[in-house]
Amino acid sequence: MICIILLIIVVLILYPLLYIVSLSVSDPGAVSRGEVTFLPVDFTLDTYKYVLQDSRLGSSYINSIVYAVTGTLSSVVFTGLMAYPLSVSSFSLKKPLTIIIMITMYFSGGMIPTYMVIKNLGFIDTLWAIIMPGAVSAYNVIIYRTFFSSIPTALRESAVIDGAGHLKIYYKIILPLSKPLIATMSLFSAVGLWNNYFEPLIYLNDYSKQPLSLLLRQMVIQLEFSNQNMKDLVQSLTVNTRTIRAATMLAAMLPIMCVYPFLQKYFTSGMMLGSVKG
Amino acid sequence: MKNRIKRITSLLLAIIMIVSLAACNGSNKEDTNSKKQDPGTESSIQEVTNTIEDEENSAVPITFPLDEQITITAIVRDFNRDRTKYIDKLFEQYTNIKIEWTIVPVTDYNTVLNLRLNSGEFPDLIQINKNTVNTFADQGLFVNLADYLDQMPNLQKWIDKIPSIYNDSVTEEGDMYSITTFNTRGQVPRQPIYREDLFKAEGLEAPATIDELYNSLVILKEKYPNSLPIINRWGSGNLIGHVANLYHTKAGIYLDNDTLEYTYGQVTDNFKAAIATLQKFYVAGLIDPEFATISDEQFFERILNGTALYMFAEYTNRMNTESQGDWNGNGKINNPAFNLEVMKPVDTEIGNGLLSVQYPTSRGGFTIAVNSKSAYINEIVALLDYQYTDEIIELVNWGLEGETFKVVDGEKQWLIDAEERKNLGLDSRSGMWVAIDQDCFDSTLDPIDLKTVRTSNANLTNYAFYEPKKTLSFTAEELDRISQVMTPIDTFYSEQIISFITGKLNMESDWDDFIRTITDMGYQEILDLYREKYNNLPEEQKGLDMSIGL
Amino acid sequence: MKSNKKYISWKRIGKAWNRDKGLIAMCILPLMLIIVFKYIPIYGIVMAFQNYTPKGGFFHSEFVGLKYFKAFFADPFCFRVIKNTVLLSLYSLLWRFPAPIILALLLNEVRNKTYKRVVQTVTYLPFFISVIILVGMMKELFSSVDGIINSVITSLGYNLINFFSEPEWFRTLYIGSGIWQGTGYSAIIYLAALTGIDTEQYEAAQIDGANRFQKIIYITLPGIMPTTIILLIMQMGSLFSSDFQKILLMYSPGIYSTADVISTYTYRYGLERANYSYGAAIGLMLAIISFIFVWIANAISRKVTEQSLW
Repeated sequence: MICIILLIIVVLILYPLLYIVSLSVSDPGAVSRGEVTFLPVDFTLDTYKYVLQDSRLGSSYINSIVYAVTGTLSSVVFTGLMAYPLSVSSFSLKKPLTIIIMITMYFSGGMIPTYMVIKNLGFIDTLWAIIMPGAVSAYNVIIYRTFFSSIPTALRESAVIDGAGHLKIYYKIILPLSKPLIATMSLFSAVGLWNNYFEPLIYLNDYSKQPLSLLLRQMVIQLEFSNQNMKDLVQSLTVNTRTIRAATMLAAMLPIMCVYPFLQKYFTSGMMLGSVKG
Repeated sequence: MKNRIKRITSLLLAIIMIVSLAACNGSNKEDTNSKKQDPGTESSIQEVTNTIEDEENSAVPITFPLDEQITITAIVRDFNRDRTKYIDKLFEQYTNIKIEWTIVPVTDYNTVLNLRLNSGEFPDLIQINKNTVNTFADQGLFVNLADYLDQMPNLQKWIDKIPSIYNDSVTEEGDMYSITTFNTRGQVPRQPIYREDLFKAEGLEAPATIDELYNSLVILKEKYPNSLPIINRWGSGNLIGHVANLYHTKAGIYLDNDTLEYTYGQVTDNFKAAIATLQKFYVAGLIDPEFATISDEQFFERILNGTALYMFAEYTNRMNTESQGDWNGNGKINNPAFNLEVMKPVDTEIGNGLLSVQYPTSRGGFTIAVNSKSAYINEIVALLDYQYTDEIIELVNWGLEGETFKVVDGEKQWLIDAEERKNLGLDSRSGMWVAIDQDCFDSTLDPIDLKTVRTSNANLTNYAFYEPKKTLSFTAEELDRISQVMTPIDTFYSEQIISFITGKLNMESDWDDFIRTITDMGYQEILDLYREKYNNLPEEQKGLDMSIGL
Repeated sequence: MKSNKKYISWKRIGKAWNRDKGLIAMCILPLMLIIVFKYIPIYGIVMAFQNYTPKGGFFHSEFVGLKYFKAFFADPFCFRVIKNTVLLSLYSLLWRFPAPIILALLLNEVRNKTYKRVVQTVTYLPFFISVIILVGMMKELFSSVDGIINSVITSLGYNLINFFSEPEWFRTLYIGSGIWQGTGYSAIIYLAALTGIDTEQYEAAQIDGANRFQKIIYITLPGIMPTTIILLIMQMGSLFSSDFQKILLMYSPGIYSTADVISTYTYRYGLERANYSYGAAIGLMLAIISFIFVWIANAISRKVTEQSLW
């Protein structure tokens, strides 16, 4: 019964996805004539050739990978370090720190002051501008904290009796038991960084440092123009085809899509079986 | 114990203070946007001497290529290409100026530019628009190019040919903080397009009046019940705009072609007539029910699979030119008789049908400005002027004679194909928005489309809906006030008008209430503002711009 | 613990320090990051009360007090856009919050590991589809001229529905596509939470004769309750945000009555010039209200379920 429900869900999802794949390998003329409904028409790899030949593609792929990996690492490390103390119920500064963090979730100074801070730190045009500001987000801290809190205190207390300091407890006991959490948050963090175009947009001048997400944004112009003349001008400067859009989207999706299957092995239950006796 | 707490606390405080000081100092720091060498006292003296010299010999022109290479920074929209192509390198050679480009996706350009401007730091040379320039002008952020006009003979030549370049760039006080970008001439890119083969099959000629159009489409709709005779893209505003033009009006505040007064279109009788016509067509099933919502893809599909029979105004170069979509070519694949053709706008009881034309300038929508704190103002001004010379325009649009094009009987012809042109960067985008050669663009068109646009251009006086000679300038406060008053009015109007078109609201009984509501919302204040500004213009800037630089 | 706060003596601080210094050392670096990147820029909030110009900067721009707040509330459509934003978020919450949980529960019941993995991977793919392609597909699917959905509807004897032109359908389309796109991805965190439930409990319940359904109600659901509650409270703070890009692509004047939200209205408002002060004022106002909502939700949750953010 459940399998049937899930099967329906899978079909509902696969159909549009395969449609997009078909678009990317069909002849552009056939696509614009509306002949492609599900299967490719006049199979061609020209669109992919066009997309993959763009000189900026290779470097932007590498940039995206660098940002995603370093950003995820720093996010997981820093968020965890921030969240663990908040999950220790006896921590004296627990409540004030939580409130300090919650405030940042809703209030921010805005683009301009943040930009000035980054500028004054000399981070413009560097990796740090991309990964540092978002390294510790309130939302993530709360999620980590929730997970850490669910680990039985008995485990922690037995380590304290054995003479372990806080950092050692964190490293040797809490983290190994938090594999599903780390896996999930790494995935979310990596995906977020991979798709993120906003920080690279405003902090990077040197476009050899552009990530893929920004490159893709150049392929689609989506604007309201205040006068017809501007519209006319832009019309003659750009030709947007649907097949290119589909192909570029798929080319960008592929690497990050492949991360999840690797992480799925961490989602097995029974991680804590046998860790607490009596 | 106490000491440890104190020590660590003070250390923390110190760190916080240092970092905040660094951040707050930002607004006082000097901008370092031109990549000059470290200015020791010697070179500063050198600079000063140079300036004095320049002032004394203000007549000494800067020639290109420069003796010493300089590096400047610039920010541009990307339009999907980098700046490392062959033509870009040639451009650098010709000028001996190395430009460090910041390239921003078109969709986000204004976000990034506004952020840079508001943070007080931006490159030497920027693409911007007139409204933003006016917002910042009184703060001295941009160079007043009016002071340098006598050093820009090539720009002067273009201004003589196309006066609106000057008119649209200059403020009421005669200051010019940015130059509007332009093509070498305007054109009539859009015209009504119809399925000539289907009309002919029913023995119908291209309709000359709106009533003939109605009757023809009724006949065709009967024969082809599944067709959507009139289709439209880019939302309801587009369709309304085209039909309103036929009735000598348009939505919003504009300069009326007949009365030469600024008018708010929605409240005129002509506009009411236009909407009544649209309602008549819609209720008869002659307009695509999804006219307000379809995407570009759906639009093209409906043309190519034969559902659509008529468009009020579409780009004529899409009909046969491969790079622009080749509608006829694609349509013929499944239907050999498929044939789209151009016709002139239909006439109405108001007079002959008008349609909007493409002016050579962007009318302030895209402009170029120079950072007043730049270290190379004279060079940059000279560079801008150099961009208006025939050599550079030819270089950026056509390339090199003998290499990329040849001249046959006074006409330029390509020696390379489209693919090669793209690889070399021959797409008119090198430099800082060098004037786009309209003839060059036309040369890429299919001969039929070329003939179409040339005929349209030649006949434009019959049906052009003209723009004013000068696009009005507004200060930041005025723009805010306009937003505040007009955004709710536009929201209300655009919602209600759809109900009128679809027939939900009645033209006779509901229209007057509609107008009354709009009037109560206070458009008159903004209209008066426009009128006042227009009346204060010098005589030579008043009136319609009837030349499009042809 | 509470009484400690009431009177602070050096001795108590000393004790706390000794016990917690390891913890403080752990979080000092992340805390610095938060202070530098989130708190230092907070001075920018003054922009909401100024007529900000780059020349004046934050410290010398003209102070205008509540001018922009007043301008927003004086706008005739202010109430409508607020209503649309809140309703859209509430309905979204209602439908989109349970969906990942249900999916996670369903997946959890699957015995075959490979089948489970495959389904997991497939369901999370739509998340990566760009919004332009998504809306393009929706417009085709739901077209009243040649869309599949309408052919099914008419073959069942009903009238055509012009989905993108009817205000009543906007929320359904928006939320429905949101569910389609986001459920698989959001389910991942619940799957992670599910792994933390002790399997011994299931075995004990099995011995007691519990059926599948009872196991879910009495073991699984309580097991993921902490995560669920926390996520729900935090969602309360997003009542005033909406997917701006998606709405911009989906809406048209004909459906402004349901589709025009705060972000799209202010976008049209700011088309002529980017008035940062106005944007800052709106942002600040929404932030305060969102924070209040979270506070209330947190307090309620603490009383009712003993789970809370703080």
